[in-house]
Amino acid sequence: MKNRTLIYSVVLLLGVSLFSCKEEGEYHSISDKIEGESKPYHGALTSEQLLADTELIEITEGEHTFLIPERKGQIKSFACIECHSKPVSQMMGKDAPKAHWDIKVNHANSDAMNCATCHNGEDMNQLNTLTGKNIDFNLSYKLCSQCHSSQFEDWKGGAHGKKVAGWAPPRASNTCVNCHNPHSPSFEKRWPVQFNTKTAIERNEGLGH
Amino acid sequence: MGAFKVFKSLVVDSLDTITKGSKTYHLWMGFLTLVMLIGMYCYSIQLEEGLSATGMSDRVSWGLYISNFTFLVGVAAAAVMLVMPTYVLKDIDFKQAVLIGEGLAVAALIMCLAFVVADMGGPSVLWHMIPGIGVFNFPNSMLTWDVIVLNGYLFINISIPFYILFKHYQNKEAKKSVYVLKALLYLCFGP
Amino acid sequence: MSDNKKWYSLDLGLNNKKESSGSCGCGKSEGSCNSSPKEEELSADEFYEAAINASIGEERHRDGFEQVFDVKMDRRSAFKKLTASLVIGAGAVTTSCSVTTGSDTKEKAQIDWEEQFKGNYKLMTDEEKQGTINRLMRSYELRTDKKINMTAENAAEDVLFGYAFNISKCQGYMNCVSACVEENNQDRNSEMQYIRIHEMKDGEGFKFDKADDNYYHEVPAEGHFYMGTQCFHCDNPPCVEVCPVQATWKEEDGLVVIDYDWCVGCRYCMAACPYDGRRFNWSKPEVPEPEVNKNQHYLGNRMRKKGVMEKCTFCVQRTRKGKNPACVEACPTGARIFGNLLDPNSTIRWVLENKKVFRLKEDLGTEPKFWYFMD
Repeated sequence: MKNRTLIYSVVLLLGVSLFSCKEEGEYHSISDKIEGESKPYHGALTSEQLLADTELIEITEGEHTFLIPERKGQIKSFACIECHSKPVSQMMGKDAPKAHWDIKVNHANSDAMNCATCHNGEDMNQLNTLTGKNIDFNLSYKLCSQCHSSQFEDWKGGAHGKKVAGWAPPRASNTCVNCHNPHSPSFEKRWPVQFNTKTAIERNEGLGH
Repeated sequence: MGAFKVFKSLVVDSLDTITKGSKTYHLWMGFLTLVMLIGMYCYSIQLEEGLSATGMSDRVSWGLYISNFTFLVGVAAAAVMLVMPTYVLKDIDFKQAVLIGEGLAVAALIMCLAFVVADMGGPSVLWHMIPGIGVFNFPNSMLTWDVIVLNGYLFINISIPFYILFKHYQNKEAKKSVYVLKALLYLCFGP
Repeated sequence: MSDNKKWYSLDLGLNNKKESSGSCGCGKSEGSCNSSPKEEELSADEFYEAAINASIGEERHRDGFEQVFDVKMDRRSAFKKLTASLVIGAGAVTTSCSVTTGSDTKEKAQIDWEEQFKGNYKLMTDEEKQGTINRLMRSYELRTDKKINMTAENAAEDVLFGYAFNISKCQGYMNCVSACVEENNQDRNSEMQYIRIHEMKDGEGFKFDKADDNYYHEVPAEGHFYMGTQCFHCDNPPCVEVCPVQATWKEEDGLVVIDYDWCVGCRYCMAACPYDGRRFNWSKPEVPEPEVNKNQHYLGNRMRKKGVMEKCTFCVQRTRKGKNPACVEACPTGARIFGNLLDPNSTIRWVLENKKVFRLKEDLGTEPKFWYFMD
């Protein structure tokens, strides 16, 4: 009896110490796991339903092919030629109706940019590149990428900018003008939308002690 | 006489003994009962309001309960260490201290468990920890080691003095082999 | 169930799975009050013996206590032993067994009873999962007269969620924090927040002790940068290891989730998390009824009770439907990238492969699935 209990307790201790050595996972690190498990990939989830309400166009830039939102339908006063029936140079003057008075260009400085850097004064329904080539309003990212080449690279890959709906394929990324106002592209200073009063009180109490 | 009958009369006699005493004894017991009642009232507040009643927060998530728990684990261990020389030196006279020492250990262990339970956010679902009907994440979770050690230790500490007392009550000599064996288990379970 | 389980549990050699009796204390036969795979009852004091028993295994011949343990108990007698739980359940029983109370009260008590004694979500079959969310939806309806929509989608195949955070983009507007609070029904009283945005001084590196995570001034502040932390959904999560009841675990798609009803509230996971990713309900969480997000997931934003842990779930209620988490959607600067790490064409993969990424406290070996990068 005595011996048996002794043996029991020794075996218990041994058993416990054996079990406590955790089994090693299949993969050594998360990068190995990603590598190991992504081949072959058969993800079935899609965000097609989430994208159903958004009009999208497919673009191919370099090795990346993805969807971006259609733009022209979103611009309030498109098509521009409804007003701009004549070239801009002829429309400027005292009698012309005032329009776009609220637009202040706050993009680079006036030495580098003015309206005509992007807008085609001759054909207002089009944008134009620095060399004067016409660009469709839907593909305005092509204008941005002329200067912002590193951002363009990141955007193509998906490191810059946001998705339209969900993470699941097909990939639909917002284009530059969905987040940045092209006339004033930088984000403004503002107050944070959230402040935790409880944490603040807790911290103050902590200081008092 | 059957063992159960002996046990019954042991319980009756013990109750008889602990309810008799001097006025000071009764006052002291009354005072201790009052302290317990206050504690139970406070715990009922905590059950009602949640653990925020203790003043703990995300910054201090383990507080006085856990520190009391660790302190009492020390007390329980010390109480038994006090008793160990009896077994080691085979000192018969000192054996009287065994009962007190182990009784103290039992009290400390019960308090340990009570503090752990009081520290839980959901004491009503603690059955989730019982192996068999719940999930007992052993040996991965250190907390389960605590549970095993405390309960095992408590079991030993209750059973030895009870065995000695039970035999003593019947005017029989306690068999050494039984409790020395259990004393050896201390060495395995000693915190 | 026990054939393909991925966790370790001590096999006591007694788990001859018994046909579930399907009836609970109040005599209702539909639903299940306890879906635990094991039926036998062991008291905590007896566990020590059982542990010896288990470690000896087959070599042991039949002796006294095996005969004791071999006695099979039905659910009712097992429950009778759980005195602590019964104290709570007793109220429900008396109400449910009384004939005078209304049928709504009775149903409510019935649901409470079944919820009190249900098993661990991780071990449930799909039907049992559906059963518990049906009860929870009904319970909410009975209590508030409003309907909620709760789901129990399992992880999709070939999905492993990952997150990337662009430190140079974050401006500290905290739109993510407020979107998270609204999406996940976090306690408004204690102002619980899963996400913290740390305002750090340029040129000083990541000093979390010197950073301010509760600033209130115009942002971005001169000479500062912003860095968000939340639950990183580690691939080797220490919080999961320490949970004594396996109330938190890692799902197949990499999400580290909590069964709020199984959690006993010991806060060990909170102590184990090196990233301060976990939150505890120190008192009863409250969300004004009109503000409650009614699209819920059992493991995600359903209403919690007091005394349980919770944390970011990458908005499991959204992401398992293909949507982005609320923080990603709310971020005005595009600093947050979310996606499937197993999809070779996903944007998160492009970020990991083409940007200089790092993770917090990588040396701990927790393998967070949350990367930081800069432009």
